[in-house]
Amino acid sequence: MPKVEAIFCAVAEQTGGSSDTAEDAYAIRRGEDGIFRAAIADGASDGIFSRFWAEILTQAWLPERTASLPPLEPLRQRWREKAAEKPLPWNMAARLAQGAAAAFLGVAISPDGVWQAVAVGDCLLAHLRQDKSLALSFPFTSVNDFPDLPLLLHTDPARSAETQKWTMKGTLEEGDELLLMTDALAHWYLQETGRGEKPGVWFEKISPPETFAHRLRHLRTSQRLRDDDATLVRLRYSP
Amino acid sequence: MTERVQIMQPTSYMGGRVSITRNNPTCVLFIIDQSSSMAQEFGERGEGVTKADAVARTLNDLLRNLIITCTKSEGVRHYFDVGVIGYGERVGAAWSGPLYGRELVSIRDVAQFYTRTEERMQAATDIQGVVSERSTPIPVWIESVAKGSTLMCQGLELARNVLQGWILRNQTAYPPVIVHITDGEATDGDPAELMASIARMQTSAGSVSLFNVHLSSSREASPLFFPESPDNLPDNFSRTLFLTASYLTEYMRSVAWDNGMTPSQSARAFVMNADPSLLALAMDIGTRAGYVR
Repeated sequence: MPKVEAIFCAVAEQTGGSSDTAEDAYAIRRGEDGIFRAAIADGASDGIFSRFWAEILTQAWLPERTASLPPLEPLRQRWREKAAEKPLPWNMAARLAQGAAAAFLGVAISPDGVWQAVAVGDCLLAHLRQDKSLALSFPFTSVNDFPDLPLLLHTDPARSAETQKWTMKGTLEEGDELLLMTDALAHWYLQETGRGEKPGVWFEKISPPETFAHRLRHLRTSQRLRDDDATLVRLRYSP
Repeated sequence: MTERVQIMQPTSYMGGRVSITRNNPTCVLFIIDQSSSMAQEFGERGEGVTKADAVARTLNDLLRNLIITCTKSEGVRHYFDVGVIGYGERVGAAWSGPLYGRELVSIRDVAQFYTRTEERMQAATDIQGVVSERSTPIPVWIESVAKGSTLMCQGLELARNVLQGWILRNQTAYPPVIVHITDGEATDGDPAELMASIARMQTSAGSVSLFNVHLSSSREASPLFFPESPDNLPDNFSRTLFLTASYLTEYMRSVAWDNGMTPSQSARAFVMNADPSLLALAMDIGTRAGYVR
């Protein structure tokens, strides 16, 4: 039986950033139940400790259970504990009350190739066939679907959109791929697809991560990709 | 993820105006009247707040908000170079304390080098989401000053030089945002050409944004905000303030609409006879010009 493999995972920070300042996170794991789980999260810049919140969310996707959002209150408590670890300067203390937020996308793939995904916000999952054609994308199908103000999972329950999650199911065929992308890369991907291109081919030439970062810089320089952190998780259903 | 914050203007996803980033910061320059007439009381009778007090307090609050906006997990990001030029008894950078004399300062340094703090009761939300009123230390960078004559031309000339130097060093940046606050006419000449030359400045990404705020000298004068034409303005000075002010951006207009005003597409970034609340609103709207990443 084919099995799911992660063939590429990376976070590339926006221009001028560093690995310390990127606010995206990803996590992958093959569970003992045979289900492969992967998640990405895009921390919002208007929060504080956003990357930590993104990491908490992606890690919480990995344990064996149904493919649904984990209860967020324990995760919020972990974020609060982290935020309260040490005294903060006045501006960070003032910022803290605004909390942290992140867009999230998680997918769980069973050994028979059936995948289930949950998304809140503007991360994207693209299901590619072996010839790199797009079978489906989720939760958006066109660049016009990207919201100006995406719904986010927030450390403040009153501002959080977990009740407005989207879900999707699909089935992988042998050789298919799933791409998980944060918004800037996702936007580029759907724009290229909308032009009749097969941007899935581009992903054949991005390994190792340094090459990925280099090729993203090229897209940014040519004004085709918005300058933002970009995360990609590429999964293949291989024989 | 892109942030929508204090300084912002919704743009198209790609191909819109240049974004403000750490590598491509913009400049925010305040030009403030510190002449003796600013010692007059401002606002409701009996409050004892002068125009200079109100400007200093509003500006300190705005700087504080800008810094909070730029604060990320790793510290304060250099999205802005900030300048405050005062004109009155002296003409020059108006910072008090450690930043004294510096014309443009990275927002990172502004966050670090305030002159003092003052305790103020504020409603604050704690990390658990609980809102309570408590005494909060508020940093102060600008003190209330009201001395000397209205050396507006000298102040504008310095502002123009500072902006020219900044644009020369940052030719592709998001264009500078300038807020000019005054309560009266210049005593050192006609500022019209200087104001017009500032308004004409541009980077490759577009023209500067100039917001003119005129403060009320009389409690009887009605505030006038975001006019579309100079027809009903009382004198040449107010017409100059109108003509050199930028058009309100779509986003600025939406903020004004949220505050019960209804400026049209041809409305200018100009308020006249502002009272304290209009001063605060005008400064807030005036600095909502960019798009931070």
